[in-house]
Amino acid sequence: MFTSSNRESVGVRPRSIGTVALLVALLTLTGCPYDPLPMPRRPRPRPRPPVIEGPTRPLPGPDYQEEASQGDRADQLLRAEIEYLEAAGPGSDGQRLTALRLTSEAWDFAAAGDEREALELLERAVAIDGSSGFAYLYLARLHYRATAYGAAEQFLARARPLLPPDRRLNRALDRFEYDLANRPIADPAIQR
Amino acid sequence: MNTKKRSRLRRFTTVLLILVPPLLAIAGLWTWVEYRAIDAVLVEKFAGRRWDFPSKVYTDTYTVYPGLVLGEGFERRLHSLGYLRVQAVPTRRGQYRVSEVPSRIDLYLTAFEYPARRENGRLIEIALDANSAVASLREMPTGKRLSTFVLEPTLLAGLHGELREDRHEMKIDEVPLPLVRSVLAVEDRRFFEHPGVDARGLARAFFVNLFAGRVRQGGSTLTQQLMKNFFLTEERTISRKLREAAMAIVAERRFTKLEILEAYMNEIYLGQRGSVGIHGMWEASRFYFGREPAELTLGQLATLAGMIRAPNYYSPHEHPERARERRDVVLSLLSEQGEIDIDAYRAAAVEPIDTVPAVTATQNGLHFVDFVREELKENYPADVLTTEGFTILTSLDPELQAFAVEAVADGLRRIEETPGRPEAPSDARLEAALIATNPRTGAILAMVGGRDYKQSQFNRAVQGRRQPGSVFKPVVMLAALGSERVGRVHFLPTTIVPDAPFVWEYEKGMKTWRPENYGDEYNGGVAIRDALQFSVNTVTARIARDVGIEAVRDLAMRLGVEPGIPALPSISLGSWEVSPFEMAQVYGVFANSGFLAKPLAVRSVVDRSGSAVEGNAIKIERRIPATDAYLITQLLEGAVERGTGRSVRRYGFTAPAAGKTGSTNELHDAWFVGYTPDLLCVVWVGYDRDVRLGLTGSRAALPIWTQFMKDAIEGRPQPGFRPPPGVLVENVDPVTGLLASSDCGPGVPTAFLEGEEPQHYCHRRDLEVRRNANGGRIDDRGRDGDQDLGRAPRTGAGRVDPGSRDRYDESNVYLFE
Repeated sequence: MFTSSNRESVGVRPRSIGTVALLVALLTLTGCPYDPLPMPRRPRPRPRPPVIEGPTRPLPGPDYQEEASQGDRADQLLRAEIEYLEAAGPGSDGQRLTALRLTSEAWDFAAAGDEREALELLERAVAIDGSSGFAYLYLARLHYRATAYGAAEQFLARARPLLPPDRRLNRALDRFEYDLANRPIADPAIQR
Repeated sequence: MNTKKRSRLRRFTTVLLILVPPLLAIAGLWTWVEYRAIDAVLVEKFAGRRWDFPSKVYTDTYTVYPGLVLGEGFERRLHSLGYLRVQAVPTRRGQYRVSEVPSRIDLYLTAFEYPARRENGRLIEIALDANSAVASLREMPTGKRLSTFVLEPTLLAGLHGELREDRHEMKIDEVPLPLVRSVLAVEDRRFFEHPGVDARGLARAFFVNLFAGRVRQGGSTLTQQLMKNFFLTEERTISRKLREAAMAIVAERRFTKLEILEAYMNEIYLGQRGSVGIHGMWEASRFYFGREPAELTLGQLATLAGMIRAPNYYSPHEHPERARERRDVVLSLLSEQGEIDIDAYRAAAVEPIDTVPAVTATQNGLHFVDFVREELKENYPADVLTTEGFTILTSLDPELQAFAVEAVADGLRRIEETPGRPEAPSDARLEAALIATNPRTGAILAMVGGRDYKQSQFNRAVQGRRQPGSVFKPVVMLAALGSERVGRVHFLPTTIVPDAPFVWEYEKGMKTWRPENYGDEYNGGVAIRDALQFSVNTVTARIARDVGIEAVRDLAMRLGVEPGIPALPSISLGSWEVSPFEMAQVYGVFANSGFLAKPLAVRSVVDRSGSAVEGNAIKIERRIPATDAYLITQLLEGAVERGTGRSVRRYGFTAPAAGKTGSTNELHDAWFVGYTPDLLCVVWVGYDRDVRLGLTGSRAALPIWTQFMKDAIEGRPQPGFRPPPGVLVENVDPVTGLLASSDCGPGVPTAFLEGEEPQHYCHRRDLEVRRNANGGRIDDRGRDGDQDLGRAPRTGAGRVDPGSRDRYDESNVYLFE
């Protein structure tokens, strides 16, 4: 509403002689200037430029959710565990199931480029079930995609002992670990 | 007319012609100067920042998911958020219904601006099972299944500057038309016709007041009211009224009616939340009715409009009857002026004044708010925080915070009623601090910095540094038992260490230190496991000497104690001062499989436009191997089951937990630190001054911890601690340190690094040999002040670490000096 253009366009244009006369009379009757006039405010310091920590940028490079021919093993195991717990019905481990579902949903968001929402969901999954290896693994992947290799390494290390023992998954994790160990120079803005 | 008269008239006319034009010119010039000055001020006010918007600090959100037990706490939470319980299916945001058969809750979420998205409010159906656990979640009316939904956070505090005003800016196109009509009907019905000052209105008010003999009616227009609120004082003088009128006229010439109306709708004062003023229709709408103006009924909008005249007198919270009468006046005016038809009038007039409870910022978390403010100071100047209107989402759990405050208050009251405690000076006040975190995420869930924030803003949970006493012992034990072998010597949990006085020479023999047990009682030899669980000082000190005090110091800093610890022998018994916050980090590493989760208080900062300006993710970093963390956790579980912390069980806390008591010299400070896999809590009790508390950690701090933890975990499943790969838990005979067997009686579960576990089962003859070699039971009475809690098992033994064989005999018994 208060754009510069319409401010300029709203000039002083007398509407009627009566109003102007009234104004003159009022100002004259007031008898003194508005003393002291309210001083214009000092421009306030703006907050620092946004610092968004955590994964925010997509990254070229190896993507561990895709194991070319066989599909992603972690994804398969995650879905299998969700299906298993859902089939178990009421009374099954609600915390675990919720954390797994959130992890799965998070990865859908990440795939769609909404990494902030993905991060939010994964952190919620960890808060609900801190023993969910999948949540940590996907956090590692998310940070890897954002070139935050240090964080990815830590989350991967946290995830490994919590994940189900599976030879194909272990091979993929070994490769992930290897790539992290031989990673390119990480972005200093994101690195811890 | 004679010549004289004519000449006088001519002279007068001449003088008039000479004087009037310059006078008029001067008056005109002066008017123009004044006009420009007022205009500049108005433009500055309108086009620049019109108001200061305090930032608001919120707790964490609450995630509801299948399996979660929704007890009474859930309804309490809804009430504290301003939700209104209704009997029918909720039709508006901020309402909920509880049905018994079938057991379910229908909840209409309110709108909230989250960092990544906006919750617009939707109806959720929460189906409950027989245990009040969530069976399923569905979004209505679509019936879409949800895996979770998030309940908005609770307001913790507003960060105000000098002006303590709460306000949320609303654009004119967001103001519902019935609200505009109601306000105009009751405050300024000719708003769209007058030039800022309403001569007719003034005349009417003048005569009304004249006949009444007192001021009954004001003649101020909305514009005049706005000018008064923006620029002038409340003084009732002619001069002020004239200034107000002049400014109103200038404002009307400078800005459109809608611009003025928008400013008015946001500026107007409409009540009080504690010491903070409620300004603007949006804020008032949320405060009184829990919803945004667009969602209010005609009756509710008329109530708000009616309050303008005297907000506190007509407050629907304090005086609902007065508010109703005033609302009816507004409705009558609307009807008279033809703004509403008779049906609308009747419908609105029978509406109840259904306000939501006055949601005030909770007073429970003010030490935490200070902590958050300090943290934010690094990135934002103080006046930015008080004017930019940030939404600051934090990690605090309001329910846990309430439990923490209650546990501390109850605990301190109990202590003060304990007979036989040393007399404290009359001006010394017993204090406590509590900090609870999620060790896996680092989120600070509850923080009590002292007994009463109003009396003392000093945050003992973060700023208070006291000797930790025995709660430091796990660090020493970790240095001795850990796989990283940070110390010079490696021990096993079953290694027997002499429990006898000794002299520790340091600084090349120039200085000596003589550690003692509490009560000066010694029992020959104690297994390391039992030394930690029963808090034996001499054994801990002896171990610290052998692994090297530098190694212990370095390890403490690696675990989260702030740098600067001197490498002095006495630090092994916790003589170096630390804060509860630091101890939470140290124990958090044990609880989180060796990873330190960076403490997380501020989750995100969102500006008024809904954009995130800061977001803090979980950060973890490995500090020790998972195997080492588990060794300590398993030992501390034993402390809770059998050792100095076993009152935890006596007070009814049954979930798997690990913990350690702590008391300092002369019983000045009492500590208890304990954790489950998901929740860690540190409690300190003592005086700010050098005054003796006279109670141990198990008697002063442990009951507070237990009360808090019992409340905090109620209804949540509690998994136990799982040993990581590389650790074996064996049932070990407490006397011989060998694998338990039917010959020797029940064993004690003891964790070993893989390969270090005992290989042989205990035989009767081993038991006899040990009994004869090292006399009898260890009497724990008098140790660490945790007397009368029970007895430690007799001395045990385990396998020998080959690397340190020279200090041990073949059965892993420490060689006595």
